Amino acid sequence: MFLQELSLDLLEELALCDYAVFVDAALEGEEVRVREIFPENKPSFLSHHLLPEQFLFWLEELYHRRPRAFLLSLRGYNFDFGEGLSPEALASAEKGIKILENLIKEVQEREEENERPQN
Amino acid sequence: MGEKITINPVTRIEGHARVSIFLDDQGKVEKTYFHVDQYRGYEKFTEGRPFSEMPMITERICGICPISHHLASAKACDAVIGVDIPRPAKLLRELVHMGQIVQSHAMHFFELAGPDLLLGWDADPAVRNVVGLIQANPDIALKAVKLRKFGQRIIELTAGRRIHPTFAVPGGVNAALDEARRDEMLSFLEEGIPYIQEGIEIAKKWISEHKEECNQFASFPSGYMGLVKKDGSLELYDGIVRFMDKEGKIVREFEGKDYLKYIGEKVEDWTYLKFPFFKELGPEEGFYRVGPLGRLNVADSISTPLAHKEFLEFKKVNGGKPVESSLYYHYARLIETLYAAERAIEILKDPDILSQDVFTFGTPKNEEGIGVIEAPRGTLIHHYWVDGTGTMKKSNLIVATGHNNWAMSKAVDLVARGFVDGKNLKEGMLNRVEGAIRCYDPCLSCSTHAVGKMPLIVEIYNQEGKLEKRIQRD
Repeated sequence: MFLQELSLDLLEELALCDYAVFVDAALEGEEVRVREIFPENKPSFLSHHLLPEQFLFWLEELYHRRPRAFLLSLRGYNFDFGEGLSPEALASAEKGIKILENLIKEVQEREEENERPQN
Repeated sequence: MGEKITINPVTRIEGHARVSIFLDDQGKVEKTYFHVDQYRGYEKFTEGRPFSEMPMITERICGICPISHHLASAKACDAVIGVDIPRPAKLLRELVHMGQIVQSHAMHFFELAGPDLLLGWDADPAVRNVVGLIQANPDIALKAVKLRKFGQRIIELTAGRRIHPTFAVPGGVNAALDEARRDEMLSFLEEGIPYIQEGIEIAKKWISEHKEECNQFASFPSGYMGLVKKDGSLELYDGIVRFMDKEGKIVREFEGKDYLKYIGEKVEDWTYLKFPFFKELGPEEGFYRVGPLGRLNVADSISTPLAHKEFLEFKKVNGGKPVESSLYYHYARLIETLYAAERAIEILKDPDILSQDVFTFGTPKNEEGIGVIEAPRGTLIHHYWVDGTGTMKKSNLIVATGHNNWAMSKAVDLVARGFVDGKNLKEGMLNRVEGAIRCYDPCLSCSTHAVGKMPLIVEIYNQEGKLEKRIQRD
């Protein structure tokens, strides 16, 4: 799902998920960063700015659902007008895709492990 | 002049704004200003682009009401190519628009205005928010989420995606609707109507319990403007512009393309937002309000049965005269939500809605094109000037928040005078000042770009410029 911003209407859809990965551009920090995130009440006073942790908090409050969630932050380097990604951001994106693929693989393996009959 | 209080940023609105409250030596409010102090560059960077790109470029102005810009822009482009688009295309555009009205109005009532009304102006800011509302009334919260989702789903099913679609093009739209998507929309809209009616009942109950506050809160006479159908009923996609004076007299009706004859814009040196005014009454007397309150004030009726029934009750609020209190914007917004849902059902049941005749080809014939639409927050005007090849020479965009600029300034001034006591400052007082702005649901993103997060900070300085008191809300 490609979005400009997180909004309330997405809660119902996320309530159906067991896992969620939020991928977003970062203004600063490491080139690529992935971390597990948890529901947290971090209200924003601007409706245009909703943190994934807050989104998960609403989900838990309203739908009593708590999917395992990760935030994948990809560093951006040039936010000026223009077309396409800067070479640095493109490199971050490529690394991010690999991390995402590994994350999905890891989750799938864990799911298979859990589904395997126990002796 | 004594002290100055600054509310920065104003919270639970779309975008950034600042309020300055100037106090006299006794701590009484002397004057209040509503500032929008970021620069809007969209008109400038449309220059030199092909006119046909405008529906895709200008919708990026906003992530909340992109459909309004998308459609106003497409209508301006239709005028450039001189094409009257096929009826099925008009219906599909209006359907997307109704989806946006539902999602935007539902979000405003629940996420932005609801905490003040349902939890109280003076409730602890730590709970006076969406989470507080969810905890206080999860049933309403679930229904609000569904309504927002229904609106967004109409946009997605009809236009291809929820935010920033490429659907409306000069000459029509680029995709017809199929039966499966039509039936899905009909199904959830039938589910949504009782939710909206429940919201209206909540608003009416709140109003009846807070009658005095409702009638006095930021209540002032003004002109009103909005689109109406030929029979004078509420219109959101097309129609003629109706202007009503503060006495409730309809003083002018005109085609949107003639807006420059009737609307002027005044500037002030303390804000980047201009102050539109009705030229016939001049810059001092010609200020007016748009949006839900303005539209219901200028309309004679509503064409859908359930919303019309509510409209008749709304009209009784001030004995048939214009409803003046800003808090009634919330009530009017819910009635419009009901209209939008009913109108969407009407459109989906129209025999033309599945037609493949959704586009008429055209090339630039006119040097100017003007598109006018009623965005959720009020009348939106896109005006383009192009050369013979269709390259944009310049554009003029007047957004709803601009039309309401004077009214928001007036509202914060009245509420600050009524509630703010500089010698005994409480957070709830300042929240009421913000609440006056929230009535208008301003979309400052339509004129600015919000970056990052800032806390609310109120600082009070004495006459020597020394900081005396600081209240911070992180």
